[in-house]
Amino acid sequence: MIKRSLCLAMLMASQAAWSNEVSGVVRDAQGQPVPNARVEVVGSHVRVNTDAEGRFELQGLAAEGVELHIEAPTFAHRIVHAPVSDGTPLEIRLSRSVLEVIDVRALPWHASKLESARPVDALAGEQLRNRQTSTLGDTLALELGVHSNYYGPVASSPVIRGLEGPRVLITQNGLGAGDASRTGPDHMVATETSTAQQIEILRGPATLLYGSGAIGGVVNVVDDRVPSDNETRGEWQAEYNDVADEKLVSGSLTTGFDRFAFHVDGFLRESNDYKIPVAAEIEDDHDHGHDEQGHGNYRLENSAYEGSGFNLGSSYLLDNGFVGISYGRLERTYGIPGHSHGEGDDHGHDHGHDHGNGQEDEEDVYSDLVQDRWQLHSELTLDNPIFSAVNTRLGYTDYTHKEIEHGQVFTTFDVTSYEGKMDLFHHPIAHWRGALSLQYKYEDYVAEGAEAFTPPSETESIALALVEERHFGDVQIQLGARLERVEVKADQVIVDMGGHGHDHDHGHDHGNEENLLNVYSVKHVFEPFSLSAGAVWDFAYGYNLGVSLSHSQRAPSAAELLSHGAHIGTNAYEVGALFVIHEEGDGDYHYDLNPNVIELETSNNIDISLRKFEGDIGFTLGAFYNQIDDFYYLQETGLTAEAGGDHGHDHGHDHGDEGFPLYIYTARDARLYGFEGEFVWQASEPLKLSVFSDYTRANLRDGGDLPRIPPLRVGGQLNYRLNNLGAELNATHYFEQEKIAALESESEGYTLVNAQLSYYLTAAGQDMTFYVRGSNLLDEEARPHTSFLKDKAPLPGRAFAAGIRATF
Amino acid sequence: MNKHAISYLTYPALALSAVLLTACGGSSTNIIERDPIADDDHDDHHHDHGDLGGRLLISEHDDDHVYVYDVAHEEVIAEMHLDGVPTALYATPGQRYGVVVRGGDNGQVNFVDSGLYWEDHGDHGHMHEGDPALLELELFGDRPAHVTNGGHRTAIFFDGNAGAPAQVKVVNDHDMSATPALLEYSANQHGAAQVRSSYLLSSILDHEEESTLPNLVGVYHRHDGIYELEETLDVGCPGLHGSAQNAHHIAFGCTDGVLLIEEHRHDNSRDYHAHKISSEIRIGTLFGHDHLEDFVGVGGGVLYRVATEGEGSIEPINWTGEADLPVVGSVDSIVWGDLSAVGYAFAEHGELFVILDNHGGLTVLDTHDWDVVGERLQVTHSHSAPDGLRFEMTVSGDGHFVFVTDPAEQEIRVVDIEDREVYDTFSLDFTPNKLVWLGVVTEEDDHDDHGHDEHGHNDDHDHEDEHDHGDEHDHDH
Repeated sequence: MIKRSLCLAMLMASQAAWSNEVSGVVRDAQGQPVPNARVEVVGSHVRVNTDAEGRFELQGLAAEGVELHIEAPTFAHRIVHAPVSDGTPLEIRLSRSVLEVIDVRALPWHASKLESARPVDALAGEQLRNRQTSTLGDTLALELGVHSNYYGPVASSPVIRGLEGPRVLITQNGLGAGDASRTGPDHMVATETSTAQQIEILRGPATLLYGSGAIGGVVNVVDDRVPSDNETRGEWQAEYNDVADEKLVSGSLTTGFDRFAFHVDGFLRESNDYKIPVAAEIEDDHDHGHDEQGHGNYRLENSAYEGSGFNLGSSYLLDNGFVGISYGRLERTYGIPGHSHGEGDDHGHDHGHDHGNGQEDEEDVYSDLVQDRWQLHSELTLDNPIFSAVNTRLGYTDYTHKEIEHGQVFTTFDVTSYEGKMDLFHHPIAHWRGALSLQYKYEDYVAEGAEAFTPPSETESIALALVEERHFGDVQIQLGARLERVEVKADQVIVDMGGHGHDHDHGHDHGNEENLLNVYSVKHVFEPFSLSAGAVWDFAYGYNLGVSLSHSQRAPSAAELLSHGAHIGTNAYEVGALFVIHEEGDGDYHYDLNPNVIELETSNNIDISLRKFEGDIGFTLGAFYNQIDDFYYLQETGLTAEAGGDHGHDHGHDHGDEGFPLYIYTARDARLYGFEGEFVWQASEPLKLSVFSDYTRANLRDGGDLPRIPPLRVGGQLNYRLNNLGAELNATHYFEQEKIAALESESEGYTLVNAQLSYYLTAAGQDMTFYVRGSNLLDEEARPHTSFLKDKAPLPGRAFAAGIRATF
Repeated sequence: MNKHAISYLTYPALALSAVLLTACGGSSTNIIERDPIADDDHDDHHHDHGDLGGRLLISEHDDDHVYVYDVAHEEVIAEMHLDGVPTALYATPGQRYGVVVRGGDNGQVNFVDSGLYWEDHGDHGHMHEGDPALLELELFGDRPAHVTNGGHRTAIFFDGNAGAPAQVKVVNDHDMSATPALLEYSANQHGAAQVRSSYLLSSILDHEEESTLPNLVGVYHRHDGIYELEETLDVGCPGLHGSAQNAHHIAFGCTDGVLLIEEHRHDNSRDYHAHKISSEIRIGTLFGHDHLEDFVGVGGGVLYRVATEGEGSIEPINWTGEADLPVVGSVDSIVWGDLSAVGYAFAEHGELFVILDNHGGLTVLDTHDWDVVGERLQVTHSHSAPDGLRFEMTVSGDGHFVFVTDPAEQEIRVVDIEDREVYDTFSLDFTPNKLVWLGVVTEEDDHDDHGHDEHGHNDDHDHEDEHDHGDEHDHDH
C-alpha cells in the first residue's frame, strides 16, 4: 500500500529548489511520544504521520519556513511555526483536550472548532454513529446552535441559529446537495448519514466559501467516495430500532493497489410508521385516524420510509496528489406525514396554520426520490513559484423527486445541477497564506404538477473568492472577500394576476368564461458581495478568543422570487417577491408586478467565541449578533387564496373554498442574536460530564418575531468509559417558545432523555461495538417549535435500538 | 407588451471579467410580458380520476333528521326535519333528488332536492349550486319497500297490508312537481317493479299461499298517469323478491332462479319475452348495470353471477376467498369466518362491483371476469358497526369514489375505488345511518353506478322512447 503523503514527501525531496526539510517529535504534556499524530504543512498537501516514537520528517519545504498543523485524537490541535534548515529536530508538545477536536474540511485549511475564528463544529466517528438518524436534521439536532425542522421523521433538515431553507446550504463533499430540500420542508435532504465520515457545521454566514446560499450557515456531509489514498479500511453497521421497526445496514470499504484506490459504500434502511407518545394531532381528542392500535399506542401515519444507496469511487494516486471520480445513487421513498385534507366539523372557517382540524386520513401520500451524483475530486501539489496546490471539485447531480398520492404522481421535481470549484493555494506572501477560489454553479429546476408552486427556473452563478490568513504572534488573522454573480431565469412564469377573493359562494360557473393567465419571462441578475475578517487570539495557555466579522449578501432564491401557488408542505399559498398584492377590500385582491428593486439580502454579523481547551475542563462560549437587511420571509397577508389559482396545477385534493392562507415574500430588516456554549469536565478517567446550551432570538426590526425560531435549550451529558464498557446518558430540555410570529402558536417545553450502553470488542481484526440505545426515555410529547408540523406530528416516542458496528 | 424594470446587461456566462467589473452588491430584474394564455381549469380542483364533489344525503341514526353534506366543502350545509325516522335513502336516476323512505305501516316518502343540477343550453351548460330543499311532494302509503330506477323515473313499491292493497308510485326525475303515476293492486304483496319508459314491469300475486311474495310479472303501460295491465308474462316467478334491469333485460329473483325478461322495442311499443334461468338457489336480490349484460344476484348470503347470454346461467362468485383471506393492514380484531356483505354497488361505469362487508371493508370485483381485484381494503376505523346499525355506502356520480359510513367513529370514509385507497375522511358530529350521493352527473360520468338493493338503473339516453308516446306529455300532470 502506498501512503500517498509519504510518497509525496519523497517526491518533494527530489526537487532541488524545494529541498528544505523539517523533522521533529510530537510528545504529550508528560513528555510521552504521541504516535500516529498527523503533521501537515499548512496550505499544502504535504503531511506525514508520526511513528511509534512520535517522530516525523518532512522534506521539500519552502525556504522561509512553514507552519505545521499537528493533530492527534483526544489532543488539542496545534499550529507551530517551523523554521527550516537549521537541522535541530523540533519538539512539539500536545495537550489533551476534553473537547471534541475534529478538523473541519469545509474550510480551506483544515481546522477544528478550537482554531477557527468562525464557529464551526464537526460530528464524526463514534459520536456521529450514535447520533445518526434517517434524516440530516435529526442527526444534527443536538449540535450547538443546530435544531431540526422536523417534518416528521422522514424529511427533517437542519435549522442553524433559527435559519433554514435557502439560507442553510447543504453540501456533499463541498459541492451542493443538488436536491429540492431548500424549497420545501417536506423535501428530504438527499444525503445519507450512515455512510458519511463526518458532518460539518459552519454556523453563521459562510457565504465567503460557499456563496450566497450560505448566509445562515453550511452543513457539509463528508464521505470517502473519492478516496485520497488506498490504505485498506472499512466499517459496517446493523441496527434495529423498535420505534418504527426501523432497520439499517450499512458498510463501506476503501482499498486499492499500486496507484489505484477504490471505494464502495452502501446502505439499506427502512421503517414502518413511527410510534408517538400521544395522538398525532394536538387537538385531536377523538383519536380518529391515528390510533390504529387502540388507546395509548399511537403511530404517526404516513411516516414510514425505505431507502437505499451506494457510492462507487476510484482514484488514481499521483506523485503530487490524486484525482478520482465517483458515482453515487440514492433512492428514498417516504411518507409525508400530516399531509391531511380531511376536515373536522369546523366548517372550514379555520384559515390558520392548522388548516382545519383535519383528521389524518391520507394513507398513501409519499415521496419517491432518486438521485444520481457524479463527483470528481482532485488535490494536487503544484511545482510552481506562486501556487502551491490546487484542489478541484466537479459535480453533476440529477435529482428526481415525485410526490405520489393514491398511486398517482401529482408533482415531479427535477433538479439538474452542475458545479465546479477550484481552490488555488499560493505560497506565503509576506507570511500571508491564502487561496483563490473560483466557483461555477448551474441549476435547472423544474417542478410539474400539483405542488409546482414555483415555475421552472435556471439559476447560474459564478464567483471568485479570496481567503488569506496570517499569524501575528499570538494572534491569527483571517480575511476574505467574495464576488459573485447570480442569474435567475424563468422563461415561463404563468400567473393568474386577475381578481381573486374570498368568494365563498362561487359556483362552478367559470365554465364559459375565458380567464387569461399572464405569462412573463423573468431574468434576475444579482451581484452579491461578501467580506469577512476574523481573529483568533491565544491570550493565555490553553485559551483563545475568536472574533469574526462578516458582511454577506445573498441573492434570493428562485422560489423566493417566483413562487405563485399553494405549497402543501407549508400549508400556505406562497407568492414570490416578484409580485405585490393589491387589496380591494372585503378579502378581494389582485396581483401586480413588484415595481420596486428586488434587493439583495445583506447580513452584517459578529461572532465572539471564548474557548478553553486544555486540561480536564474545557469550554466554548459564543455569542452572535446578525443584522440582516432585506431579509426575505413569508409575510402573512390575512387573505386567502385557492389552490387552483396557479394556472391549472390543481392539486389532487379538493380544498374547496377553504383555500390556503396567502403569504408573500417580503424583504424586511431582521436581527438575530443569541449564544451557544458547552462546558466539559473530565471528572475522572472514566467519567466525563458536559452541559450545553444555545439560544436564538429573531425578530423584525420594526416589530414582530420570525416564525419557527428554536427556543432556549439546555442539555447535559454523562459519559462513562471503563475498559470494554461505555455508557452515555443525556438529557436536553427545550423551553417553551413564546416569541411567535403572526398566525403561529406558542409551543410547550419538553425534555428528551437518551441513554446508550456500549460494549467494545476487538475480534477478527475488527474493532466492534455492540450497543443498545434508548431515546426519549420519558416518552415525552415533544412538538418542536421549528417544525411546520408541530401540531400534527410530535417527535417519536420512547424507542429502543440495538446494533452492532465494526471498523477495520 | 409590458416592459418592466428594465435594466439589463448581457453577460456572457462564465465571463469572470464581467463579474469583476460590475459594481458590487447590485441587482437587476428584467421582465418581459408575453401573450397571455387561457386558463383551462381555473377553480377546478379536480382529481385526475374526476371531481370529488357533489352532496351526500345522510340520515341520522334513530333520529328524524337528514343532513345534506357538501363533499367539496366538507361540511353539512342543510339539515331537514322529517315526520319520522327514515329507514332508507335512494337517489332518483339523475341523482339530483334524494328519496327518503320511512317504511312500515303509514309509511312516507319524501324527496330532497340536492340543489345541484345542470342547466343545459345546448352547446354549453351551467352547473347550478343552489341550497338543498325538501320538496313539497310527499307520498304516503303502507309499507313502502322497494325503490327502483329506470330511465329518469323512480318506482316506489308500497306493499300495503292486510287492509290496504299494494301500490306502485312512479315519479319523474325531470318533473318532480307532477303527480306520480300510479299502479293500484287489489291486495297487498311484497312486490317489486321496474320502470321502462312508459312501461312498468311489476309483480303480480296470484296464488293461494300465505306468503305475500308474488309469483308472476305483469307488463303495465301508463295511460293518463295510471298503469294498466297489458300482459301477464307466461313464465312464473315463485317467491319473487328482488329485481334489476340493464340495457336490454329486466330480471326478477325467484325461488327457482331468475326470471329474465328481454325487451324488444318497436316504433310505438315495446314487448317483453321472459324465460327462466333455473337454479336451485333462491335469488332474493339483484343488481344490474347498463354497461353490463350480466346481473349480480344474492341468495342465501352468496353472490352469484347471473349471465344472460344464451339460456343464461347462475354461478357463484367467491369474493371472500379461502380461509386465508388477504388482509390489508394489521387488523387483529376481525374474525374472518364471519365476513359477510352488507352492501353492494357498481362503480367505474360498471367496470367494478364493490362489496361492503360487515367489518367495514371493501372488496372489489372486476365485472369482466368477476375476479377479486387486489386485496380487501379495510376502509373504516372501526371494525364493526354498533348494534342496530351497519356500515353503508354510496357511490359518486362519476363512479370513482365510494363513501362508506363508520357510525361508531361518526365518520364517512371516501375511497378512491380505482386505486382502492382511502382518499379522504369526513368527520360528522352525528351518527350516520344511511347515505346516498347526490349531484350532477354529466353524460361522460354515466350516472349509472348506483346499486343499492333493488336499485337497478336504466339510461335515459339509450332506452327512452317516450317521444313515441303521445301520452307522455300530458298524462303525468
